[in-house]
Amino acid sequence: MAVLKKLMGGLSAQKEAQRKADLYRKLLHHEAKIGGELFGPVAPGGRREFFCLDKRTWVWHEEWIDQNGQHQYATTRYDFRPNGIVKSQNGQYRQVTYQEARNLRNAMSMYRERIKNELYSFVA
Amino acid sequence: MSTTSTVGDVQPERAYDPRVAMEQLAGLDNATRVTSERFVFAWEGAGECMEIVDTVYPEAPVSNEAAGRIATYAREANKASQSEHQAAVAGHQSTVAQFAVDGSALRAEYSAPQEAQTAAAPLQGSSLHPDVLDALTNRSGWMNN
Repeated sequence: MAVLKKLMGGLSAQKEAQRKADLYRKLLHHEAKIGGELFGPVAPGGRREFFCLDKRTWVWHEEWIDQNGQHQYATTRYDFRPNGIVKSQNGQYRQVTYQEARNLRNAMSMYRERIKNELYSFVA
Repeated sequence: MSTTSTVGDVQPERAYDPRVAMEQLAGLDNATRVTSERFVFAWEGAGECMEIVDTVYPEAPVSNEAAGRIATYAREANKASQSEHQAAVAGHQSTVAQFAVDGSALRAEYSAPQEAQTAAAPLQGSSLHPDVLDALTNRSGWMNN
């Protein structure tokens, strides 16, 4: 009986953890959508997402249709370090330019205001 | 997801402190707790990254040389703006003059017929009974009746 109770408890905890992970993913998805709207219109057939992955990492994902009608995509990861921001794209790393850093800062400022007002208003 | 959270009592307009919201999470259901935690995480994450940008890539102070260039651009822009404004005013005045000419022509053309029609109007299309109409147009006769 004790074994069964322990097993049930374990399953319940697993289910709960899965529910939390699902919810977290959905929230992240909504944030990414809001973040994608901060940089102007996206070309028809394209998609843009921008979101805070963790406290020191931001992600920009862009999809578009090129001149040959081919679907293209690029994922850019911004790592914030105490001495600057490193940008990784297609496995290549480089420092962001001054202007890009300032643009990112403005985008992050708008991002947190918009998610607060549009997504988390009932807990914020 | 419950929306009866008391965390909403935190006023975001004041200097927002997500830690205050975190302190009020006790007793909330799991979904609300996860949502709140994610919000605090994103809010603080953005804040910390913004601080890094402000430290490593501070807003550039304007040098004397740049300030001089900006002033020159501003003067040029102002001159261009003034000439555009003058051109626009001249164009507007021309249009106004044209309108005035057209207006006087219109008035000359229509004023006489309009006055004639206005004078005739009370008797035309009236729904008054013919006897009353006659009485009105011949007041003395109506009074006598």
